[in-house]
Amino acid sequence: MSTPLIWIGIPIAFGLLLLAIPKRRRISASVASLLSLLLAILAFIFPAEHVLILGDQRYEFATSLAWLGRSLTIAKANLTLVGLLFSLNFMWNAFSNRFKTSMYFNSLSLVITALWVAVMALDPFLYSAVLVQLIVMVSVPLLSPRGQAAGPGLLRYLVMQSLAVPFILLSGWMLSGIATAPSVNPLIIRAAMMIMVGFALWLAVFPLHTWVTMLGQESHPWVLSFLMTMRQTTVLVYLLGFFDRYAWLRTMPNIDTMLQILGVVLVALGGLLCAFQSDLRRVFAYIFVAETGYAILALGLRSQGALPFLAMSFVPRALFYWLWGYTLSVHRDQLNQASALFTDLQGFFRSQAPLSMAWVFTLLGVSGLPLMAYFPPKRSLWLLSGSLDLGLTLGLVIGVGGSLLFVMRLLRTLTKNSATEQTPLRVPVMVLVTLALAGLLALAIGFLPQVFLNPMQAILSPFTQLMGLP
Amino acid sequence: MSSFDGLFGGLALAFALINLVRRDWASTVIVLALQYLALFLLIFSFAETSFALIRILVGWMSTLVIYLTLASSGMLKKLEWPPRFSASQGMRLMMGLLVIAVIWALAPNLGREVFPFTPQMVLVTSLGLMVLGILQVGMREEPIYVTVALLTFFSGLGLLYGSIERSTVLEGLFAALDLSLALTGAYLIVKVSDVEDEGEP
Amino acid sequence: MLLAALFALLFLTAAAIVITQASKPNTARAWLIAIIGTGSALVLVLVLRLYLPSQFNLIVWQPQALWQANPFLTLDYHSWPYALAIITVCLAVILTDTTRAYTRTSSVNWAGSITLSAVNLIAIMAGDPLTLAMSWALVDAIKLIYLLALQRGSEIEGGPIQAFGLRLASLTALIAATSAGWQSAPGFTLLAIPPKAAIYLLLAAGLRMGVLPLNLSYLETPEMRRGSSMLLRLLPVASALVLISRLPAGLAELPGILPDLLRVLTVLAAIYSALMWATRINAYEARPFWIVALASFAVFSALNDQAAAARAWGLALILSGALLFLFDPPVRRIRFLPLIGLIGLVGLPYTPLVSGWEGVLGQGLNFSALWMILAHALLVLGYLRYVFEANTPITGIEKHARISFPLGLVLIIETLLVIGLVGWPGSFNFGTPFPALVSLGVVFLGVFATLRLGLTVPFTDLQRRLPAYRLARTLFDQATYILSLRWLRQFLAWLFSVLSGMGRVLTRIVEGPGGILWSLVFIMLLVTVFLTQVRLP
Repeated sequence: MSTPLIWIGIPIAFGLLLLAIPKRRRISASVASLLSLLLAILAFIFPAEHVLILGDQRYEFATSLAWLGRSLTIAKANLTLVGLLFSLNFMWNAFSNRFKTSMYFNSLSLVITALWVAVMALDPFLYSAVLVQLIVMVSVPLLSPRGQAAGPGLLRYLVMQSLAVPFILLSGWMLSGIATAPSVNPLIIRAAMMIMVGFALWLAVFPLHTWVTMLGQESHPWVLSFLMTMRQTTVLVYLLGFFDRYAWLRTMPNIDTMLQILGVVLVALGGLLCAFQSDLRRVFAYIFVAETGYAILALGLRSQGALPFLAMSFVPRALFYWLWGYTLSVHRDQLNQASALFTDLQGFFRSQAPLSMAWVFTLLGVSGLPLMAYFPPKRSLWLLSGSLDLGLTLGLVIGVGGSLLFVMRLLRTLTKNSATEQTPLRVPVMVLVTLALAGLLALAIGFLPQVFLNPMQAILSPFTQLMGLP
Repeated sequence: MSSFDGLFGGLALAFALINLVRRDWASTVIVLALQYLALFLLIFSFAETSFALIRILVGWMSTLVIYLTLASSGMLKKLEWPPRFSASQGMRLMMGLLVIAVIWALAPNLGREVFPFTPQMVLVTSLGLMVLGILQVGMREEPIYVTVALLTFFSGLGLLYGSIERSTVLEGLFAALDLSLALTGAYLIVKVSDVEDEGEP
Repeated sequence: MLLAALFALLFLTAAAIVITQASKPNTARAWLIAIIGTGSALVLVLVLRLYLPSQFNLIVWQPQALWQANPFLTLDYHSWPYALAIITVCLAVILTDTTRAYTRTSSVNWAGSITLSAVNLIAIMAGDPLTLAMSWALVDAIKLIYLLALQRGSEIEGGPIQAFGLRLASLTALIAATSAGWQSAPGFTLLAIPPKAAIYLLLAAGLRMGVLPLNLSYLETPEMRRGSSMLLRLLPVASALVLISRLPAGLAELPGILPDLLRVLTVLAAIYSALMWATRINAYEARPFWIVALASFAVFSALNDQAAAARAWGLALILSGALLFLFDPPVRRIRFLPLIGLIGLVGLPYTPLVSGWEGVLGQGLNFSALWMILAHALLVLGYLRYVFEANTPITGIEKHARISFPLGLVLIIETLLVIGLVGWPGSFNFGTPFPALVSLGVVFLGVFATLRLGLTVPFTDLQRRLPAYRLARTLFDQATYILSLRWLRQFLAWLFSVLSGMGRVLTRIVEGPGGILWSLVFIMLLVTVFLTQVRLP
């Protein structure tokens, strides 16, 4: 038995099995949730020596699995991320059968999670670019279920993600011989540029973000929030891998300053563009852009010790993405509201106050409002960037201001007196309980980051070079 | 490398160019199959047979998937002969030719500085296929054309990467990618006409 | 420990009211619990005066080296007078509530008042920016939820949301201030604010109070007039006032025209709000102007590098304000009680506000200080006017309320006196009587003119009695329009719609059929920028 078999082979096998019973939603959701939960727990408690002792039995696990002459490796150091990915898969699967998503959601989400784990496990790691593209292909049926025409956003998603593959694949090859830092030459700059563009396409960096806004309008919010959370989490860790492996990349002149500026520009643009939106479904894209900005900023501030905050951001970010997907899905599927346009949300507060407040709560939370889950890591990033250069703070203030302006506009719309009489809309009690629990969790994380967020620093343990670890 | 390289590479580019210009599903599929054949012959000239065979097999399987999808959903129409040319087709042709010319002009420099181990004709063909694929996706939004364009794009990328590094894992991944792309394209093509599960996604 | 006991006492009192009311409703018992709990808290705060400064560490985020956060509460000479004022006003609210008919929600309101006071106490005692940010967020969230809950039944459009927006902006400014402060003093506390952070903190406090830029958020609604709703309006300002009083010197030496600009804006805010305060129909409608006007004095003191003087103005805002606003019903026979409240507002020697004048005259008697004295006179005039408009006969009030109602008002007066005597070292002094006398002179002139013109409260016949009334009215309306900054908001709304329109056009382009080609152009642009910007060594 080997670790890749447990966290890649088993979920893929189960995913494929579940494909055979797509209409048994309850069974497939239960199996996918349970398996994800088990795999997540196992990842978190897996012993460092890769040996499990159950009674008299001693089970030793190999950390590598040979595959077509190459290998897949999952060591203890990688297991925090693996655990996080399966936890996310659990969070989305556990509530999936309440929504009208694709009937393949449970099975394919297992496959997708396993593939994201494989992206981190594949050696040589550059080949993972093709795996990421495979994930894109697998996610198409989820984003555009049968019976609906493929929207332009989906096609653009396919195209933009395809474009990223050569950038990543060729950049690494260009410098495969130069693992350590040689004198800077044009080849290195070209390779760095290709890596940047590749990741910009993967992470929907402005102005290459349009596919996310378009998908937001076309696709189910539950599916989109799941796919984008997994994508952002893994691709960001994958990016850290680049910086860890290639000394030439992390020692490039001005690379930190460039990353800081890029990060802040993305935060500012994400916030500003968010401020002008009038459709809740499109907003996710801009939050995503801004969040990518924060991650890049943290990478740029690595000399100031910001990388732990990048790792710790994954949990609150995922929680708020989950809440966003959940609330929009409840609005769409349980309240049967086809539109999330501002014009159709006027006075919605009077019909459904809890859901309205949940939207506001989520947006404020993801903006980093004090007391909420995201505040501790964001506060640290704000302070680290501010102590370096107040210009960075200005950019961050613009970004935060933009998103807060959107919150104000949303609140105003929700509480406006609409021309038509607002009929009260009821949601099941379970929805209210779920929202309350998620809200409490968000507050608990915000108040006790040392309990909930500190363990996430272990995500960085494979990156010994980047962290300057022995 | 044989003296036929130029011919095979040129043919592959010509087929990609036809797909960029024409808007006819039947001819698109046929030309895609021919494009894979030309690529096979080009790869055969500088790589092992197994490598070239994988490419054509996967390429033709992908083409077959698309063809069968179109045929089964009754979307294939009889080829229009003689083909008529419109101004927009002429425009696309000009653009495609211009792109190939630019690549042709840049190739020696690019080969020297970035891809020193790649034969020039392979470099021109691979970059040409990639750029023509991108142009096609930039101009058309129907699933079939996007799928064919992406297949063209990836065949160019596979050709380029195959010329610089050969790895069984990567070959396997590229094959999986081509096939999954074809299946995705097929899914996108049929899903609207598929009424079997309408209302229950 | 005493600090922890204070919060425990307040939260337990609130919880006891809610729990006992849920099991067996009894309004009298709930009122008694509220009085005993809050009264004990008041005693505890008075005892705490003997232990200043006191400190209480909240949960520390570990490891310290990573989070650089050590949230703590502190009670010192800056925060203690406010703590006393808050508890006093809370107790006074519960005492004076007896004049109103008890409803099922009365006890919930008392529990709410006590909780709100406790949360605001956290904010005023915040020892570091992190605690302050968290407590502000908590207060803002409570306020928003309360107002939205009100809105479900009635029709308040925009106002609460605009106010919430400004508070969020204030929070953002606070975080920016923390960033700026960290440049010179990482992990600084509010007990030693680095000068770099001062201007941002002033902006944060100014935004919260509606002074910088001038913003009156929204006018009073019937639901917000009395009791706990008044606390909701008055108390959140306190933490901003404490923050102002802690600001370091150096604001007057800021580079460029910034200090002058801020001073002009503050004077305009003070004049405008004082003018509006004196001319509204009733005290409730005038209440937002009262807050902004007195808060302007606090800001003005800080701008004159006399931040500690802001404390006196802040206390006048809360205590004298509460005295007037809790004077409801305005019983004619006891209107001498709010009149005594003038000792907290005029600033004569040996009264708490006398040290406030040092703030106004920090840069000497200049043009802006004169305007501030005029604004003060308007405030006093308005105060007098609202007191003298009180004409309700003492009928229909229950027997016990005839004692508890004035008792609540007396309690505030007592606190005013206590603060004047022992509020902080040097609070009981002769000070500078000159500005108070000038202000009183203007007030007498105003009263004299009123009498001379034969005007009587409630000034309903101004049109007939005042010469050139229409011209004065037009000028007044124009001035208030300009000073209210409504035109600025309209301009910003227009700008937003223009930018929004441009954004829509751009979105249509990049998300339209040619979008992918645009993306390719962007990629080429990125590549070009990257290749040209990265310099080789």
